[in-house]
Amino acid sequence: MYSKVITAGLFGIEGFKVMVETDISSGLPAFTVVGLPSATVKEAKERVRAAVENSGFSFPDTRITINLSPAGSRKEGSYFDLPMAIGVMAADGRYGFSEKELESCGILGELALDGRVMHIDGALPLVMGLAEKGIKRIMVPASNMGEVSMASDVAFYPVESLAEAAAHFSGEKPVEGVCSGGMAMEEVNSYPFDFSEVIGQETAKRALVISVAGGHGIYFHGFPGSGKSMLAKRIPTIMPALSREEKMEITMLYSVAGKLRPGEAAVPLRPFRAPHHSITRAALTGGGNQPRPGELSLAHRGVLFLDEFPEFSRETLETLRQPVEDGRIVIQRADRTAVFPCDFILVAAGNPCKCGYYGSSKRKCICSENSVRFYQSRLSGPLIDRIDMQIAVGEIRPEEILRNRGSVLPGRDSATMRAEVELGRSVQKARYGGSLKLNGRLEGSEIERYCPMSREAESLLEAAAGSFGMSMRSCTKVIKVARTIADLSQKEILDEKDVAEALQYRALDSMERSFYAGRNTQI
Amino acid sequence: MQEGILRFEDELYPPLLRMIPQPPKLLYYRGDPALAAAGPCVAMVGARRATEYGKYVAAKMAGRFAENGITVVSGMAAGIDSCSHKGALDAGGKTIAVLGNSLEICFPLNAKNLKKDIEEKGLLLSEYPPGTHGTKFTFPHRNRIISGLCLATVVVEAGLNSGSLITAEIAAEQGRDIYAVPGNITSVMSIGTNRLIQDGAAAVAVIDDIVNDFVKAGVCEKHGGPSNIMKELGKDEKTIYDFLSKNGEISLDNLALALGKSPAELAPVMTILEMKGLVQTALGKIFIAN
Repeated sequence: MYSKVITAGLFGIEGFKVMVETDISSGLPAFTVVGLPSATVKEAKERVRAAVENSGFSFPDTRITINLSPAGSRKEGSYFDLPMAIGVMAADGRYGFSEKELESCGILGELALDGRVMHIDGALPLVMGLAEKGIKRIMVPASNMGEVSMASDVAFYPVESLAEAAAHFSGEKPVEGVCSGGMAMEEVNSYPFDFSEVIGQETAKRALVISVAGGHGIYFHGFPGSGKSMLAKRIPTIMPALSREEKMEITMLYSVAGKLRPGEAAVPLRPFRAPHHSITRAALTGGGNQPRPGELSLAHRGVLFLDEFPEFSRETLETLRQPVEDGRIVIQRADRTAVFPCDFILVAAGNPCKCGYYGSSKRKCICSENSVRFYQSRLSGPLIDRIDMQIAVGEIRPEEILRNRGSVLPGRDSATMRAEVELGRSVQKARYGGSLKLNGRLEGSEIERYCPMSREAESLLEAAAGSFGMSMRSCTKVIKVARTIADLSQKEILDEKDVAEALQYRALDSMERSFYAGRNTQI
Repeated sequence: MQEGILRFEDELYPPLLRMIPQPPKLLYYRGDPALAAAGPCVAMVGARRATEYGKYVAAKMAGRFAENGITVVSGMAAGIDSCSHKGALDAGGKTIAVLGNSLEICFPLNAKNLKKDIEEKGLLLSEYPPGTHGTKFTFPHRNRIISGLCLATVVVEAGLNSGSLITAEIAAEQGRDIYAVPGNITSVMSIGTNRLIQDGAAAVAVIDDIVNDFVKAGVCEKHGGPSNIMKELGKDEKTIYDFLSKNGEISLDNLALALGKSPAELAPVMTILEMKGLVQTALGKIFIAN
């Protein structure tokens, strides 16, 4: 006897339709799975057998063959358990499963040995893959309902056990369908922290508004304890609230990466990822036989924070370059190519030297002159060239803050800053025709086209380039940042004030140029 | 470039050096041997790992010495020493480096370009014969030559146990004037200099103090000085410049707070002041440039 059940497989974040064909014929008891199953899928045999029997059904003692078609693409994941069990029971013929129902309803789910249906990773992209192929009715584990309800126009049948699923297909006790799309996504947008808690770093906060509004990468240069991490952590609080599409993209990535907890719905807030500097390249970009997203993709639409930037290996930083430029990662495998989006704001931070106190007036630096030089030489290279803004985060004197406790005005809060960012972004949206393009991504001829400058601004930039010894590349960065500064005050043409302010955000360049400042001194 | 040996009995042997206890019998030189005996000399010494402030003061002060025909003498080490040499050379002046090793050795290694510049435009001196590497003892030992060549010694920046304090001590024994650049009392890199002042060294209150003293003593004539740039400043620039001149080093945030302006308003003005060379920023701090 033969049965056919619909389910789905996953490659990267793309789901594709898979048919589970089950054939039961007479012969010695055997259970074979074909169609390029991975180890997890092969092991499904044991879970299926136990789950069927522990749910009060009997498992056929004959020769069972399951084919996962298309037979040519790899299948990995535990979500084939439930469709395989239903396939075997349908082919058995004793349970009277409705063929019509099996033909129209996709099935996803992992089985426990006692017959419970367990939470699966990647449910949202699987469901989307099926919906694209016209399968609009899908049985899913009840604990995945939160995330899958983001897919629109699909009816879901949440189940908690194999017995429930069997009762549905035999018509004994149909599971009630839940229509998605109707489920309102709750607007959670509260972070447990706020920029108003950061005291005495208003200059850095102003720079951050510009960075986020224009999508400019930013580098914090400063002593330990000056608040670099504190500032970085609060960046998501000034980014605009996530749109539905953005939430969907992020949730897909987190779902595949297995970062959604059972019952958790969409990722509600902008991600903030801060990988340690010892991270491997694969963990950063993502990878594996069945590609999974790495840290870069988990920071999609959010912030990637590289603390202790000079400690990252050159190789790791080199890996970052292409994704930062393209906003996506392409992972090539022999048979297919997976593409993960990774459009984030790059935030890096570093100390002036290994011990952190080179040039500090509070503590003595214990590094050798050479080690300082070596450390700072790390601050050049292809990646840092792609970071538009560099700011020095000044030394904080705790005694001043403590003395003025209570009397100091609270710093600007996240809501005010976010309003400015949103204004800046809406100006850009109008200019770049509704796409998500930001000033930070302007290149070549676009800069000429979109960044008209007043005569005064032009001559100021020329003069600055001369007296600060700026390269063409740093001039381009200044123009892009000035574009965002002008956008924040809704000016079409960049004037000299915009350019002059943009020139302030070049802490590393100016370190390079100052002849008495350690590196490149030729002294 | 000339190369050779100055003997104690030679005419070009610097007269001031003759007067110190234990003068070197021989001095190996590269560059212009007449320099040491010619104009008035001043020694500039200080920490190798100096702060931005220290390096800035060293370069600026050396520049003013150079403009007034005073030769800057130092030890070519990293930090204050290098900035002093460089500041003098940049202003088109003369400078002498006294090494703790023989002349063909470049220490520190990265001072290669500076060493070449000094050979060409100034003078390199050493009492050590070719093939002598610097040791723990040679560097402090040559300090007596640095101070011995000069009328006065300036300690620009020094921590508590800095080697430049030894130079100051030797200068005192040789009966020469000692100046110290005062620093923030919260800065570890200024403890040494502030202590020197406490112990009786003359404090440098403005960059030109030493030049003025030299003029008074009749050893040199004064040239140049801060130009009347204030007239060219805009209103905002003047406010900020005046504030900085009165209050000294400050962070951009505190400046914004004190003037009641937002960082966004302040940033463009800072750029203009930086371009005019009136202020310097380093690691989030701003200070006035003269």
